[in-house]
Amino acid sequence: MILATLLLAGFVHSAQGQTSSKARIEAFAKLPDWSGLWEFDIWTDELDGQQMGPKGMQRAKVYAAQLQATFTPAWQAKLDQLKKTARTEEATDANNPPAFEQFGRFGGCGWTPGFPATMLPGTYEWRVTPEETTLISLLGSVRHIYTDGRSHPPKDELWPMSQGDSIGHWEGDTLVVDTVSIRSPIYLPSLARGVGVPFVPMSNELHSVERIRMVNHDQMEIQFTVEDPIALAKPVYVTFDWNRVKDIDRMEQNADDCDSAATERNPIVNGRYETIIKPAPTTPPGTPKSAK
Amino acid sequence: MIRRVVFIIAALVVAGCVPFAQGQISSKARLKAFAKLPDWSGLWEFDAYLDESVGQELGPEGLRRARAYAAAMQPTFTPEWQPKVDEARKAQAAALAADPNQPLATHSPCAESPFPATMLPGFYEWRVTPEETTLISSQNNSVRHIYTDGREHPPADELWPTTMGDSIGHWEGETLVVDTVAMRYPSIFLAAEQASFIVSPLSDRLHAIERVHMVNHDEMQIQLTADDPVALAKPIHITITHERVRGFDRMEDTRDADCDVSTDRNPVVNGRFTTIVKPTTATPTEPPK
Repeated sequence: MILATLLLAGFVHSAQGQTSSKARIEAFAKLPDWSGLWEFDIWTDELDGQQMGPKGMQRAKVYAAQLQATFTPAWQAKLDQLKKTARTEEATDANNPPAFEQFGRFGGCGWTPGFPATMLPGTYEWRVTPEETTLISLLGSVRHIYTDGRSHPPKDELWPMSQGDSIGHWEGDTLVVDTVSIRSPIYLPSLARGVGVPFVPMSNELHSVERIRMVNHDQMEIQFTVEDPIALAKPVYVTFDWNRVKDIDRMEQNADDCDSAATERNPIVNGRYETIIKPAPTTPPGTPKSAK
Repeated sequence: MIRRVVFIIAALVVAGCVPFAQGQISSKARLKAFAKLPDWSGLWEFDAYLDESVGQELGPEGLRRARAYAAAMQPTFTPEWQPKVDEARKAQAAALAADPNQPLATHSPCAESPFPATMLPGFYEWRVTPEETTLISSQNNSVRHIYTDGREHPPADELWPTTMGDSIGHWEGETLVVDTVAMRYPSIFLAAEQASFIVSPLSDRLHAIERVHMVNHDEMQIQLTADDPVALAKPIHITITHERVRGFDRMEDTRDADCDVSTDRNPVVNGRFTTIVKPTTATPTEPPK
């Protein structure tokens, strides 16, 4: 009788079944359905080699105009040097976007995009459940956004990591994400240029708030507010749009074990992105040399 | 006319055929499907690492379990594949002989851990929704996407080996049945030494079936059947256990920017795992150099 009462009240799992509690199912019912694959809209008409198409370029310029970050004098001096290096690099091949190494520590095998990891080429997937929303990027980053009411860890248990520490809560259909303790450098697009989107490092004192919602079935919006007392003279506000990806049905992983260029899409070859639709025919997979 | 349109939209929403207007909440069918799924939330750990020591070394109980798994499996390799196995064993034995107290980092330091990626140190998180179950490992952000929406594997001319392969699944009651093909560099462990698993590669012709279920609130069981006509003379069958992690409340990622994992737990240094609880020095606010 007691067990039955508890089960009905949703306080315990249903015996061996381990199905969700009633409370969890009710919480799930209130959440938006963000399933499917998504893409930052500047990459929607992406060309071979992860080059922005005309529409993407137009969108990137709009974002750049919104951003207009004002950096602290100490930070600005460092960025000027970084941009100079980047321009030299781009001049060597204007039609092929450089991989991101020259903007700091971006790119390379095994590299994981740091926070915010929401403005990259490739597809994204949201995994929304009551206790957590997870954002998975094709480029290898995973952000865990805890929505179970917890706070950030106390200061003596916090140290900077690539994705920082994210907690969130739902305001209707909008996920509000608060992130701190992000490992420097992280990157923010500063302006649109010929073929790529330059990113600039920020300090790991950055505090960000994102308000994320699905505007309609095919579009998501991320309102991004960034404060950084070390790098920014004033906070930055920008709103990004994502579009639903309609021609790809599964996530893939770009980052592989450093010799991925032969078998993965969008590998980095000679420091630049390439798009490989399918590898050239090879000997039957897995055939050991001795069996050939 | 307006009334008719409103009525049609309302009828479709009630029927669960379209998302609820601007709200984009789940369809009725999706909610019904979710209610049938098990709740696998929380953090999980391969039980061989339950009493893991500093440096991701197997503890006494973990070593006992790892050896029991190895004894239960006893893979038989094809004559053509055996030299690869011998070579892998030799290289790992040499590394262990050089430093017997440190576990081997058997794969590239920053690489995702290839399939099956269920027998690694660190934490696992299952993200279960009706259309997909995702398995995320804290070991280098290895992410397996297991599609449970009824799709098939891609046709042969659109398949090529990738690190995690292509996984589709379906639910048989509360058991997730996962079918995986087209894996690149899959591996299986052969034996457990003091600090490490000894691992053998398998071929990318491997076909794996996993039956995953939560035995009770604190234990998950993964029955793995691995069939590989190139590497294995006969299929492997093994059942491993994941246990609920209790001292931690967050996932972490061992892989960081540029393989420079000095601020994350469990980085790989010189090809070996180490555990850093917290960096001793930090100058977090310095501008980039």
